[in-house]
Amino acid sequence: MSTVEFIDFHAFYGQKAVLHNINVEFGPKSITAIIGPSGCGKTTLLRSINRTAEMERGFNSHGDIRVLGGSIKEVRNLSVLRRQVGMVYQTPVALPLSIMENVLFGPRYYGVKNRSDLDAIMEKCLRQVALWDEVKDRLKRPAAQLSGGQKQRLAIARALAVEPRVLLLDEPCSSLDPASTGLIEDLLTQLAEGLCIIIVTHNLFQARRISHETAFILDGRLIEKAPTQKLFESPDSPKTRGFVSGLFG
Amino acid sequence: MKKAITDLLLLGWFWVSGLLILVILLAIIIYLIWRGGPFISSGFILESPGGFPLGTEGGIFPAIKGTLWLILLALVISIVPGLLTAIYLSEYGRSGRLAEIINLLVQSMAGIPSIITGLFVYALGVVTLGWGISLLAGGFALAIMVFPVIVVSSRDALLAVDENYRLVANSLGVSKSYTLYRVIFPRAAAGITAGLLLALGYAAGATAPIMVTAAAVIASSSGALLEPVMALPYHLYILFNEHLSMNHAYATALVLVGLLLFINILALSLSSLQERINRH
Repeated sequence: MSTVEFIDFHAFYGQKAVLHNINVEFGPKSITAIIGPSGCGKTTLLRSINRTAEMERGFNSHGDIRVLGGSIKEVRNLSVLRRQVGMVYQTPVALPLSIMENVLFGPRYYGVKNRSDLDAIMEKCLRQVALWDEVKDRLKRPAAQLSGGQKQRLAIARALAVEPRVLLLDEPCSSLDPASTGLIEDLLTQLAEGLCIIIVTHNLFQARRISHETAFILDGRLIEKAPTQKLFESPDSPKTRGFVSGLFG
Repeated sequence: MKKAITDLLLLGWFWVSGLLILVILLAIIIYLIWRGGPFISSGFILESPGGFPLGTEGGIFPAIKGTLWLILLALVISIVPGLLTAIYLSEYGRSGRLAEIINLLVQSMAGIPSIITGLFVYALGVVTLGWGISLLAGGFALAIMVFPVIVVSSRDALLAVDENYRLVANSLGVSKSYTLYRVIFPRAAAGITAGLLLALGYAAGATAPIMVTAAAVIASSSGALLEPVMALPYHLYILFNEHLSMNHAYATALVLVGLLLFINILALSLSSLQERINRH
């Protein structure tokens, strides 16, 4: 069964259509990269899944998206959906709290009170993003002191702390140096052993390096989705071929 | 070349305007110190007015106390509705239709001449509700006057908090109130406090709204809600207008300006602290 499934999904900002009739499935335990030129609707597609796209004024959609089999449109309580679907943004954001409280921001809200439970969640999540060894001696220091790459890993840990089943990442490495990017790519590969990961990226090399499947979007339409190697080496559509070979971008 | 000259002329203009304002401000303060300074003593600050006519001797202690009571009460009354309105505008309503209407209303409120506010509270509180000329009526009038100041300054302090925090919190599915309490409010606290202080200063200097609602020529200013109080700006007005004692008028003015300067410097240092917080 697919973890995230778009069914005849259309999205609009005001009168302007940004996504046309999207039908696509994302499986569990896999990384899917979404590529396409700027403004093609990649981010809207991502943000439609956890229903943060609708916070934009004038946003409208029809069709459906199913997450873990349930329609997102029928979700009464958005926290339930957003707990299942974690999201990491382009800009690394550290909340103005300590490193520890950044990770525990979600769990505390969802009612974890026991000191040892909280400590366990924090250590587990920081280890998952390979940040534990770097910060274990300064957990109570402001997270603002971390570097950009560390902040981004902290953001992933914060998202993992509420135990999502899907992790959405919107160009998570575009402001990071190659070393930090490498670290994040490694940890995404590990996380994919238990999560459905969907990553929007401008970096075609990154898509090739880490994703099992790649989807190409152009002008709000899904042109092609295929195993990554196939999409890059022998795509069905001439448009995909043009894009991945750098003819336009 | 021509553009460079335009820039130079503009720059010169800015400097002249800035210096002019500075000169006027300094002139006021220096003049007050020159005329009023010699009459300021511990007795003037700590004693009640005396002599005949009243105010020609003694001090202004009840007026200082009365002004402090008035601005404190104004703050107590306006802080909750003011902050809640600001929070609604920045966190809940945002760019919605209702928020637009509220913004417009708050702006219009800021434009009401303060004497009109005073007359409104006179009609409603002093007469209809039977409060009489009282601290309560004056505090209420000042609260109406500072409400828009509190709303606008708190709203802007909240809106200045990094939008990414809201985005992150939202995508974790936590409620707005949780985000507000844990992140947004602590982050904006210095700016909000600065706004509250500016509002206090604004209230302390206002004369018109208290003239018809709270102020008396002589009162003990004990803090009893239903009794009239003395207030610095009103006392100053009486001394000046009735030519009772120009010396005491200038000394009173100096005390009032000193109080306002103190409040405003406190507010300014808090808002520069807030700016440093926002940059990190």
